[in-house]
Amino acid sequence: MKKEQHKKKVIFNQSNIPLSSSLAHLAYGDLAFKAWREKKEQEQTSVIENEK
Amino acid sequence: MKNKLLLIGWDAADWKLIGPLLAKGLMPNLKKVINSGVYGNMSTMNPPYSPMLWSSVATGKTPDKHGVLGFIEVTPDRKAVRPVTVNSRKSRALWNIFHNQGMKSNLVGWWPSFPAEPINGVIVTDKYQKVNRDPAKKSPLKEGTIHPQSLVKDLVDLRMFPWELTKEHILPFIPKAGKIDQTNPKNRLVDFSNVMSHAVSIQNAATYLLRETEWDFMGVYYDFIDHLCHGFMKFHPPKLDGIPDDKYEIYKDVVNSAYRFQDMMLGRKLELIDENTTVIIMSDHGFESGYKRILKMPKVNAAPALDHRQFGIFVAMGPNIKKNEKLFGLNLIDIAPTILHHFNLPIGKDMDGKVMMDIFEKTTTPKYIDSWEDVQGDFGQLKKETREESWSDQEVIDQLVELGYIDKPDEKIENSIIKTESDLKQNLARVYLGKKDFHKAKELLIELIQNVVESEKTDLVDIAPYYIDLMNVSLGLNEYDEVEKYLDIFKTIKTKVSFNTYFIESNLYYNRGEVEKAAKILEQARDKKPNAEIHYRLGRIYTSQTNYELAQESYEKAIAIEPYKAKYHQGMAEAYFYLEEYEEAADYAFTSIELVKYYPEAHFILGRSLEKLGDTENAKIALDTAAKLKPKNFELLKRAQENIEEKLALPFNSNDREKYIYRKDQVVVVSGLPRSGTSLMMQMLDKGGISILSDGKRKADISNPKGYYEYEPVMSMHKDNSWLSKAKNKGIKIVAPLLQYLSYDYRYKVIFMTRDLNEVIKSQQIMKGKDPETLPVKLLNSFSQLLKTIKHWDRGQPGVEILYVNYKELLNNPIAVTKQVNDFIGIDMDNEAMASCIDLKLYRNKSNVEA
Repeated sequence: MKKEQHKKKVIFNQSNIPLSSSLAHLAYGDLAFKAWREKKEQEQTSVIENEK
Repeated sequence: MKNKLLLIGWDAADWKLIGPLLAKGLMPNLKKVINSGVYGNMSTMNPPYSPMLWSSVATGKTPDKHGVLGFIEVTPDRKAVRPVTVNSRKSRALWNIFHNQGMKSNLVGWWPSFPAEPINGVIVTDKYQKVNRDPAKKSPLKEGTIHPQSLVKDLVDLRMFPWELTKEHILPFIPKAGKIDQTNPKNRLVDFSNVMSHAVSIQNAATYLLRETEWDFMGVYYDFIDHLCHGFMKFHPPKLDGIPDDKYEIYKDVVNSAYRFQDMMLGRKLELIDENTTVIIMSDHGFESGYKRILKMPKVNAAPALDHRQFGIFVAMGPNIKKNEKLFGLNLIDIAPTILHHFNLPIGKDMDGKVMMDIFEKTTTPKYIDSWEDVQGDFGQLKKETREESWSDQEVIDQLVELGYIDKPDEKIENSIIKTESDLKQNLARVYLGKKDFHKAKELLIELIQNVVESEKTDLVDIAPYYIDLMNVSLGLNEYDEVEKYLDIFKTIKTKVSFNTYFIESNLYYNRGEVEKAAKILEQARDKKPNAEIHYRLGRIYTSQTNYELAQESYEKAIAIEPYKAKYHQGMAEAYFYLEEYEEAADYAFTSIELVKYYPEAHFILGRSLEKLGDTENAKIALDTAAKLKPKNFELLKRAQENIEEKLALPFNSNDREKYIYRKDQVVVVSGLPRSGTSLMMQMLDKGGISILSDGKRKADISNPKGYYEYEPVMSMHKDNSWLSKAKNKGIKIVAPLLQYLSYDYRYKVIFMTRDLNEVIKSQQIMKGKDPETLPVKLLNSFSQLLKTIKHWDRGQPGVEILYVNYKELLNNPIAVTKQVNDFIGIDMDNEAMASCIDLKLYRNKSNVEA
């Protein structure tokens, strides 16, 4: 199987990834983890900026 | 389309925990795999230490061959100890073989896999997830953590740190986490967060590789269930005595939640593979979850492994895997050969495992080569110089200490090295013990003890456990004096180990024939602190003493404590069989087989019970199954099969032994108590035309004026019965207590002489020159017990036919009895010559025969 074909198989829909802080997002793996961490960092940044 | 294979390791996963969760629908993803594939118990190897076992999974070889012998290793320069690495592994793993064959492999978290080998594909080693627990400290990836280097940038940020866990992650495991005193830096939340974050890191790396890379084989290993079980199984329901109520309430959900989370992670991986991928999910051993859970670990090498159970799990699905079928007899050593066969690659003849053909829908004949180790070429292995670098890793060492797998390394590094080397050597000895290579095990253990004693390190290295192993080794070698010697030494050693020697002592006495003493030791242990194994072993001893009622009581107690142990049910089946309650015997044998299908002794007792119940056809099936499984007493089984064949060949359903036939190479045995007429019967056989196996060493005397017809080797047949081949088609005299040592290789016609016990004893008293009127009561009791034993022994021996001949009856009706003996032996003999041996004048003087 070619790499591109392989990648196509993955249905990557941002709205499907559990972004909430829950077990489900941890079990989902890399995509959800990255998205969750980015969201968390953004939230922290905005809290810091608001405090400024 | 290429059939890829995904191997998922769940360390310590156990059906006992999974079963109820599946039933409640709480592990839907595993259920899906089971429903589409095969499942069964996965038998582990001893000792059940995970790095050794997962290396056996990867190589198909036992640890003495692959070289991974423990949790830590000594660096090649002997200057430090470190968590076990690939350096200890001497054999090629699956991914090395695939590399050589131009295939691509991904490996995530395998224990041990650091430093990463340069294979065709990706290795994310077991060091990847071990981040620093202190948020203030950085956790750079050590060199060798990931291969290829180009993936480091993508994978490094997929590691989760323990402090990143939120209450939403923790509460499903520990709903009352708020009640934990977090001011204590060693509170259990710290351990939990650590283990949890490791699992997430592994899942992240695995899902990344599943999405982003091409591969043929992928192996992902999780220590999540094992590590949480070591920390929290003691709080799992049912509540154990000794666990405080408040702690139980806080932590009782952790273990079940661990299984559920593992299942959630499986769900995501299943989404990322296609229908042409074969999936195997397995564990290396199970984990005690019942009353056997240990609350306080003893201070011995790798003590937490005492909580490991013999059976782990195996589940597989894929295009060529059978559907929804339970399999039996799986062993983790078989995984590597099975995977090689899946890829149509040859199996090394030096591998200890075999292909699990049962899992495949369509089978092809496996191919073999002598050894993959001898094949020249690139196997993606580390270069020698890289292998000799040393890595220290305090984080990992700390975690192993916390889990109790290793002791905190001594501040003096030389002490740590001595201790580690000793532990590894002991582990190797245990591997040999598990393989029944007792001589090698003994050699190693003696060397170990000598080293420690000679270097005066007995304060550093506890030698008591070595003596425990030595006792077991000596039992295996039937060296009972040695067992006793080591037991005596063991009792003098100052040790922190509290070890019950009652099983060893009881085994020792039992094997020496001191059965009552063996029983007494276990009875005392039972009265002090009973457990299922004591009850079971007592059951075995009572069975050997033909005290079947007491045996039943013991087995009942064992089953009440541990209802899922097949051997307890098999023992019960045997007791019922000897009591001639064949329906119950068959029932218990069935239960035993339901628990462990490949249990030849259970099939054997089932077959014999069904035969007695007249169900000859099913008896044949059961006995044939037992024969295929090659039990220890294979010859005994062969005799039972012959009987069944014979019955099936009859035109009617016969369940008696009245019609005797000559059996090829039969051995005619004359037996009975001394002075019950055995010499007379031997003389009759001699005159009747049967060759006698006798050495004539014991001369005729006044007690036996016509000779004794004895054969000297008979007296030591408990040690050596190989001469029995000389007795084929001959007559031989064997006293009653020695009948049990007849080998299963032949068919026996036993003429058992009976005589009134009082008369027997009187006659013996006269022979010994003692007062015939003084009755030795103890002797009388032991003789009557012996006769009872013979009757029970007969029932268990399919190769033995017995004719009881009463001495008085023989003297009174010589012609009739002689004919009976003739029919029994099944050959034409000279009846008259036989009857003429009876010199009534001679015997009348001795036994008040009614003329």
